[in-house]
Amino acid sequence: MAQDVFMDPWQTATSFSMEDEDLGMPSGKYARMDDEMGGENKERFARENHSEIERRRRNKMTHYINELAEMVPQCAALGRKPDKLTILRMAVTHMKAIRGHAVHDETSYKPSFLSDQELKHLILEAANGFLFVVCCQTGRVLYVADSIVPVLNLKQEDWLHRNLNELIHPDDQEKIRDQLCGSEVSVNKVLDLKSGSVKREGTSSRVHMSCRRGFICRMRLGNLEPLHRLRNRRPLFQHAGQNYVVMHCTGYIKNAPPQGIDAPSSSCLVAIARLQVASMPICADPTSTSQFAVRVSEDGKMTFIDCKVTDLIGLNVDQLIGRYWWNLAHPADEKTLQDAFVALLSDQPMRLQIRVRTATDYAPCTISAYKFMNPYSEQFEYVVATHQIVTSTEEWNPTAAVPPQQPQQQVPNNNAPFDTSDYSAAYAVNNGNTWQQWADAPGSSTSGGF
Amino acid sequence: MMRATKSQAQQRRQLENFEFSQLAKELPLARAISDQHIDKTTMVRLATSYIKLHEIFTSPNKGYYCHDSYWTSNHLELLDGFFIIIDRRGDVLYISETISIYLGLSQVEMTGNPFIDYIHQQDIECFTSAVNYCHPNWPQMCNLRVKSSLTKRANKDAIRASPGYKVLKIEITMGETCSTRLISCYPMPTPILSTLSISSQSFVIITGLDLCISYADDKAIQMLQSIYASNNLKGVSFYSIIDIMDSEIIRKNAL
Repeated sequence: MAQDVFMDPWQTATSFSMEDEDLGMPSGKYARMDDEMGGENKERFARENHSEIERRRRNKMTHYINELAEMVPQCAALGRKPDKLTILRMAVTHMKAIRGHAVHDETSYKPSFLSDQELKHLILEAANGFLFVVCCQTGRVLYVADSIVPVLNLKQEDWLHRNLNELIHPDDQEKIRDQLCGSEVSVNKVLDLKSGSVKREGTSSRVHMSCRRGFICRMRLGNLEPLHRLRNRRPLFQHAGQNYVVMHCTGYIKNAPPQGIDAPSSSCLVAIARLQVASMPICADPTSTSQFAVRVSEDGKMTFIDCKVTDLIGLNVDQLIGRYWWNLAHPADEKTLQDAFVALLSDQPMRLQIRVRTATDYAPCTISAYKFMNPYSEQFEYVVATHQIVTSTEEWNPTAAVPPQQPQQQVPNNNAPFDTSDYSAAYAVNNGNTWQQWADAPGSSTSGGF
Repeated sequence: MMRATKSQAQQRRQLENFEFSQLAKELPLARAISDQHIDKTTMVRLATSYIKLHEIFTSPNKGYYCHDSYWTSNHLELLDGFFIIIDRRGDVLYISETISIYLGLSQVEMTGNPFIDYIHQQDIECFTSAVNYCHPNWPQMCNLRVKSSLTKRANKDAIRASPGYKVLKIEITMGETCSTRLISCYPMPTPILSTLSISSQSFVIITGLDLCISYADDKAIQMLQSIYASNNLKGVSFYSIIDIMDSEIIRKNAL
């Protein structure tokens, strides 16, 4: 049953006809009968049971042999269905051909389904990873696989013989040093999972760490332009004009450089670094480029703002945090947004089209918001508000024709659940600098826009 | 006449057995495994998967990044996970031998068989949809319970755990031919040990069931307190220190 679910949507044409009952393991039916039957019956059933098993085995074999015949080109070329012996002979010849083709050097050959090069390819494709070797004493890169190119947009030469410190985020250098020197320094705290307490472990209890290593660090991205693997799926860090991506490194410390690497004898780290891929698009996804999220606390203040806000409306996160959410709206829409927020707190879902401020002007925007409740305590945590900047003017359809109002004519209302005096104070402080643009932006100039 | 047919059949079987032994030699298995008795059906199943696998890998793009002089033969041991390649029917074409380290399952047994046979019944739908919604360069991810012979029997400490299964975090990528899927599997850290080592770069917070912070170690205070709480991290909701777009993910995981 489940197999059908899997096959249907994926591919349509398959010549697959396999009777599940004939191929599955012998069901428990006969085994159970054995216990219940008396002596003579038992023997008879045992015989039937055995022939049943034999029949299944033969069916299974026929199925696999037929499948093999389909896969071996020499058999397919015959034009008629060859007998079992011919299929086997041709399969052996074909396998020899594949193996001969796959084996490059006999010395390091270890039988496996995939050759080293094929596995490297698989590690690159399925895990976005590459192999590297670093000298523990000097931190110098002794080897890096060419599959680094699509992962970090860097050439092999950009890594080879360089110090690893130059290739990773400055804040991660100390951590890497701990990993390379193999000392116990980095692991002196222990979390007891039963009591939930954190203890400092006596340094004498463990003399040395195992040679296994696993750590996360940020590695510098290059700028080979056309290659940008998974560019929407990897968290980016910026430092001194360079981009860094998060990499998982796993491997072990060896006492000497691996064979085939020309380096002075000293211990080194052999590891695979693989890209940390996010389960969701991080940024610049076609569907969410014009969206930013805001977290609003119970008193209506913005406590978190997506940094995309800067790209979208040209305002800095620092300018916005701590302000009332409705300060973001066009003065004429402030009241609408504030009312919607109050309604939202009393469990009315919110979807609103208003104008929001930008650095120089106003932009039409669709806001959808919901209350985020703590799933355990069912207490109010915050409001999650998604702001979609509307780029096409046709889509813009204000919910209500709001009459133009004087921007700062906020009437203090004692019944309102918000501390409005605080609001005006904050406004006054900032009025002198960046917020000036907002206050100065004439409301009439926006009307032409929509 | 009867005897003639009988000896003919016998001769045919001998010839077949010889070819089977030749086939066994060609299977890409370590001698330790192939010296043990592998039944004939398994041999044919493995041979078919091997041929199918190499049909994928001999595609023109193979020479993409193959200029390295050095490449280690033990790279699977370097990883903290293993790989699976499945064909369009969902049959395992390739599975790293290191699966035995993580799940105790055998490469010989799984190759050529449907992968979903090894997935927890309740996770099959999640897996199939992740497989189907996979696009080139757009890997899908999910967590799966996969059969394992290494788990302990359910005890009172793990009421909600599924005995006989282990949780894997998987990433599914579309292969070069869009009918295959490359799956990388990473096991979740299992709380078999009673203690966890904490590196100097990590911090520990302990929360109540409502994810309200009840304990924070020095590192957490150093890293978080100045940003998120003016005086004390205790009592701060964990939901308020995460990126807002992740709140739904955390909510689901906390349920």
